[in-house]
Amino acid sequence: MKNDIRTPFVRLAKRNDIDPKKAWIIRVSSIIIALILGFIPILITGSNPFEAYSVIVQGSLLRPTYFRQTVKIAIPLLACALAIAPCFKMRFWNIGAEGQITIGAMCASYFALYWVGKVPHVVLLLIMFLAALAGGAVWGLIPAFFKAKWNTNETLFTLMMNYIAIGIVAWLQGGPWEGRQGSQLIPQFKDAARLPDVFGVHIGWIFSLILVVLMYFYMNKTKQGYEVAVIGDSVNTARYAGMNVGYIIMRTMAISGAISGFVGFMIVSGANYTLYSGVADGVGFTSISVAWLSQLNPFAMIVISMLLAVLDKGSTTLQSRMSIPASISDIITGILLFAMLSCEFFINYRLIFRGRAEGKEDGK
Amino acid sequence: MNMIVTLVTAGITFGTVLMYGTLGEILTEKSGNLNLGVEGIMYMGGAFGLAGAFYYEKAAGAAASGPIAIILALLAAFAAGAAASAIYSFLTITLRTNQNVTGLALSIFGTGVGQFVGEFMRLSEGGYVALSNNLKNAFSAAVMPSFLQGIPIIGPIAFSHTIFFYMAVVLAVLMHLYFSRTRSGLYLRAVGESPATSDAAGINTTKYKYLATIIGGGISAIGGMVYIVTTAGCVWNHEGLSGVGWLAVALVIFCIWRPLNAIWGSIVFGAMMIMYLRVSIPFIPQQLYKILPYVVTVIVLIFTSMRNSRDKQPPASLGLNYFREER
Amino acid sequence: MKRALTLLVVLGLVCSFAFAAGGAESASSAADSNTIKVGLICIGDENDQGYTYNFIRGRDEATEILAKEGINIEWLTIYNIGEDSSCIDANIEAAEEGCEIIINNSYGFEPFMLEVVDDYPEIEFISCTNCASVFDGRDNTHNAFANIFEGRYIAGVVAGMKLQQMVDEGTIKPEEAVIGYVGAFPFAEVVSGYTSYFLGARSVCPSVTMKVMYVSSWSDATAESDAALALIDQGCVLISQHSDNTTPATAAQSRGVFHTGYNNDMTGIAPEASLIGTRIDWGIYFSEAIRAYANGEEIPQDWCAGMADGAVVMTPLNEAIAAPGTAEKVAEVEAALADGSLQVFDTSTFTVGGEELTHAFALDTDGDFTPDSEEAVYDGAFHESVFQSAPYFTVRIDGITELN
Repeated sequence: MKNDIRTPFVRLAKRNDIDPKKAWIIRVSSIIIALILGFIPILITGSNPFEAYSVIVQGSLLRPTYFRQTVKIAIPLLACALAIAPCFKMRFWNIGAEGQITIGAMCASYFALYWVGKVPHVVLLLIMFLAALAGGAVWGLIPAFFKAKWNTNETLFTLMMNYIAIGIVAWLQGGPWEGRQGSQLIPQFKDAARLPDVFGVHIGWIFSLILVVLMYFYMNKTKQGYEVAVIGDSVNTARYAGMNVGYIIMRTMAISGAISGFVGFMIVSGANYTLYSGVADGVGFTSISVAWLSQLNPFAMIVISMLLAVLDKGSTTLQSRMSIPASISDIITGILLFAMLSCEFFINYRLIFRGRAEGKEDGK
Repeated sequence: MNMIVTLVTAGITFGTVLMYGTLGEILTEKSGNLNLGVEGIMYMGGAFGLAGAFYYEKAAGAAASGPIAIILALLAAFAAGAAASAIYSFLTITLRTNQNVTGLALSIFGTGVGQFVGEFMRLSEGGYVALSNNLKNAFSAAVMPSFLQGIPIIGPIAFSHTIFFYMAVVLAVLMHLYFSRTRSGLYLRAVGESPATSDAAGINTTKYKYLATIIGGGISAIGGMVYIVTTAGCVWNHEGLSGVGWLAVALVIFCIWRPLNAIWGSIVFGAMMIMYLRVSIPFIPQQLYKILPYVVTVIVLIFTSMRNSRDKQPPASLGLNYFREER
Repeated sequence: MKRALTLLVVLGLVCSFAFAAGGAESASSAADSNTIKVGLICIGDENDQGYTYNFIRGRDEATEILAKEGINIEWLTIYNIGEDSSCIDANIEAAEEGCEIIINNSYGFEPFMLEVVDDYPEIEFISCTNCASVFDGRDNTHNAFANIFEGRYIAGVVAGMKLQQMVDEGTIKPEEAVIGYVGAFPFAEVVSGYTSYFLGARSVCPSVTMKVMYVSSWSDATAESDAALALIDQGCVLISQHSDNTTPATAAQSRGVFHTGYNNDMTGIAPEASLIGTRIDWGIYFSEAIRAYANGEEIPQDWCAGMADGAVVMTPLNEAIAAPGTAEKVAEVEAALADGSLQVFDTSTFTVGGEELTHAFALDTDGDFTPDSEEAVYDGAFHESVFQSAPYFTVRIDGITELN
């Protein structure tokens, strides 16, 4: 009895080696639980949740056009999550992908608008690609430099850089790059500045899948990837091991920024065909969730980004057919993120309830 | 001179919105929690605050009274923000999830909920959702006596505002006193600086983190409500609040985590956001004025980190979770 | 472990049931031939009580008109779409959901709409207030607009009479009769609008001048309010607007100045400030276009109509605060516009840089965004919305100052 009072109702114990199968069961269950929690807002609107979910699936996967639209949404999420992965591995909280995408898109757009017709199609795309990489890299390097030099808080710095980038594009849109006077619209790109389609979706999906493999190798099989992981574990260990931490931070951020810039290039040249201030459209933020929920595993990112894209695309059809506001996709995405974030806790820790024999929880 | 007076006066209108967002986030961050969900929290505050006033008026009809509507809107917004922050707190404090990612998830979730509620009200009412002029006037009325408002220069700057501005100022002062003069405030700051030390000293770190984050979220949410009922004209605006929450996060840095700085800081930010309509600086395009708040924030951030003076830093444990068994 | 697995299996079953339940496509395409599915893509929603609200009213009116003729319309309205690639997606969505006609309600939607039209040649696409259909060489794109400048001219007359009354009563000095105009963008539709408004005001109040402030957005409630307040701070005693929200009216009311509205009757929102409003009655166009489609006729490639056709209407005059005699004057001007004896852009009533306007092109044929063909100035007037429905008056006349 006395012992009971001193023991809290629930205790925690860290588990070190969980069966990977069991871990995935927990993860998948959390997704299912989140989807069931998503019933609540649907019920509030007076609709049938089963019907609503089936419309989401129909509106995102079951028709070729809708499937292509879904893939179009997933591409930048996937590629940008890949960009974020090494930073987060390094515990460098880069939430500036939104701005890096915007700057990359801006640099690519300059050539799309002013060099079109002067160079051949493929060369133009190549120049746009390189410009986007350079722009994104520079935008990522700025906060990394200050982090390396003066340990400036990178979360807040990269966040601010987003809005500076967006503001610059807003100015270009209504100023030097404006099309019809006063319209605040940059003209649509000519065909020569557009990415070709493969199976009805711009070729970016192939690049993104290649990038998945490359990033997997970079993070797991190269010396640089190893350095990133060491810094993520402990900056001090890295220093003792003789690594130049500042340099590695800057290098990683440059790579991350460049990939984000590439995302910007794909968006303007493959999907939007023009530039505007909202070009990144939250991708930089959402992809952070994609990266984190995938445990920074590039292959898992394919699944997660598709999942979020299905919700996003499906909910617009949901709105068309059942008059449920499309913002429901943000709500369900949010619940999904909460659930998947929480489930890591149950993977890493074991709950021990008072009065229960230890070990029983393991299900042995 | 007249231009400066009108700029400051107008800056206060938008600055009031920011001040709530910022004060709430300062309280949250003092406990070591970096809640990046302010954007979502303010969306929810705006939608639920409007819903509170709207459904009250629908129930009360023409008899609806301004003060009650204000109180209900405040309560609804606060409750929404507190609930959102409770999710964040539970995840980051109890379930130990990453603060950055959880905050971003909350901003997605909150934006969704806010827009969903706003849209749903419109759909269920079958048209636009707006408050009556009676309540609108109550929300935007200047509360100070008219002889004070009539004083040249000082009158418009200091006495021509809505009740929400004065409440925010009082809140800022109270928060300052709380941090600097009370034991509990001292403990809270200790938790934000070093949870391990505070825990060892017998402070209930979990309780402080939970309370600060939840109350802070509630305060931030009021900012969203104030935006809807003052500058947005008491109607739901789908994209109206976008970016306001992030601006509030920036302002926290600009104020170097001090509530009193938030009073003038929010006015400065408010003025910077509308300056493009009123001031023209040679050689700088007016569209670029809107990025000024972010640029100055970056500069503040860089300088504070370069000078590295102890009292101008973020709370030391900001953004990091505390695991007792890992200390 | 076992329990977890069982739970998982159950949940999986529940989910598969959910998806199976809706396995059959529930997209409704028009079943009987008399029902036409029409998509309406909007930049905002009814909450703006302005631009999009006005379209929704047009939508409902057209439904009513055509129902009497035995033509049923099933609407798919998509709200809150930005002038960005989300507009491409919205058009694809509407097309895939079986719409036979898709209406885009904002100017900036057109370039994005044009990315989709070739994939759906059997669907008719309409871009309101824009102008690409003339030169794009496609059969399934259309434009439409109405002579809103006529309505603005009359609103200007109402404003001018109020200002002249204030001058006559000594409330303001003649040179203090300054109108503040909240514009969206420095763009032809807006320039044409405020110029006609100003000319209307000056026809009854000779000393009037105008200040224009742009908010760089069609719909930004806060910026519109801020701009109105900034204009009032700079001495404007009457506010008008070319933007989607009602906040300029609220701002005018809060500062005790007058206001005239756009898209909606704003006298309910600002009973002590708003004098009158003008709006396009989209029901006229919608019913005409959809009727044509239902009868197997061509939807007009570029539709434009004016006050005489009922496509532009004035909202009720706020008699309580308008200057005496306003209603009579309005009726007189309406009649003069209808019979052609009054031209809004009569070149004898305004000057450009001190000189009379003698030449201006209407159309841009080569896509470089500067007009290069069709002389618009003839017979003593600039002829607006004659060569295309979208306004092309971009001349800056004397008496109007653009502040930004």
